[in-house]
Amino acid sequence: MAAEERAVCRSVDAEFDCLADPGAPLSAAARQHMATCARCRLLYGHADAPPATPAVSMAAVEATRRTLLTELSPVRPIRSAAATTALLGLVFVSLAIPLIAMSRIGGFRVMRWWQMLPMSALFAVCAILLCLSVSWQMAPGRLQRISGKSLRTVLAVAFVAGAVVLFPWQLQGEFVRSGARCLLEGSAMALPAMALFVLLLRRGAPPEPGMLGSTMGTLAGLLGVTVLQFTCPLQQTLHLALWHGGILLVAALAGAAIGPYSTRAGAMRP
Amino acid sequence: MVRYQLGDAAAVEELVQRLSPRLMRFFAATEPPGEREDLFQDCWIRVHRSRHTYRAGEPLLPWIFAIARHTRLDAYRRRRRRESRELAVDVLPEVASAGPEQSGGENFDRLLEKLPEGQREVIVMLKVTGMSLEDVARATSSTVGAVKQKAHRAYSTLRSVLEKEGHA
Repeated sequence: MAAEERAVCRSVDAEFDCLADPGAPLSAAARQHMATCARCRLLYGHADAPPATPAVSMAAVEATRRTLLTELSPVRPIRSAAATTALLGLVFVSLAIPLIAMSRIGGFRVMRWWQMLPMSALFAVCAILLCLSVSWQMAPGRLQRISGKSLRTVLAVAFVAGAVVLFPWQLQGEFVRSGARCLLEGSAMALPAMALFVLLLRRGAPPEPGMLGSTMGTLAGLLGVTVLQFTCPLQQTLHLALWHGGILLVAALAGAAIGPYSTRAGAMRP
Repeated sequence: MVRYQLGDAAAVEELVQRLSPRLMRFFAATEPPGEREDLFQDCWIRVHRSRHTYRAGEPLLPWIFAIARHTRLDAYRRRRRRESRELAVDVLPEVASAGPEQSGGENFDRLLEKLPEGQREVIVMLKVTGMSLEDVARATSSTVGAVKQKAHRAYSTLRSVLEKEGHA
């Protein structure tokens, strides 16, 4: 291939790389070049000329149509993503407030305003994002502006960073005993939340039920962590990061385990 | 789709008529000839079973292709499991590759076979089924940025494959 032609190919490559959408058509000059260049036609040709539709056998279409018509009955669609998000949020708040009110409020007494405000904001933002992510994941074909995996990572990093930056490092009391108690209490608080979330999501057919379960578990775990943040008197970095943070991990794992059984994920399976 | 959810038989007919060619094109670009029709039918059954999860007002194509994608992935996993079991018992004689059919000199499908699974899927959806970036992101439960990145990586791979083959 001549150097001149190679240079034109490179410019078509560069033009293609700059396209906002790889499916968009190329410029007239690029299309003119493609008419004579086999390489560029092979790479970018489909943008201009859609490929021939492979024939679908009439027997297959007929069998499909028959099956669908035989089993046809009206169905009630699932709630909209906004309604699901709102309901999940409502469950979160309506469980968190009574649980904080019923527990001892050691956290309120120990924390200063500059610790309480950022942690409250962090929990609120994460709860909203997790509710959104869960409602996006419960049905196929929904755009996920933030993936469930990234969201869980961001939540874990932000929580640990908050604990490191805002709280003192010194240890008080029995680290393991009090920590294990917090882990158990927080996980126990996550349980009713998880049960209610499962009830709300049971009609979903998530493409990735494990991921949905894990995100749902993290949201339930966040409820436990939020309640403990305002009720636990041990507001120290290691205690928060290890034992309170551990609740998120335990709940996410439990959620991932029950995810495939909590929704109609079976509808997506043969 | 909303009429389908209400149990309208004419809506089923229309949907199958309009979407079958696109679905078949998707399976034809990614699956061996012997399995395309089975997957096509399996996909429609899954669409039927999860029709209640379609939310009115949302784009239909990504919803259908998200289901088609998982039909493919499940079939791929089943095939891999079966192959690994068969190989463990006996070494099979080499058989001819059952790749997509050859169509003329310019064979985009043959090139696609050289791509990793994730990149191949994105290119098939963008180029073969004619979906937009956002639709592909919806269908693959991903973000627009991730789809764009996969597409550009795929094209870099394809260019280097063509270079090795002496096209540039």
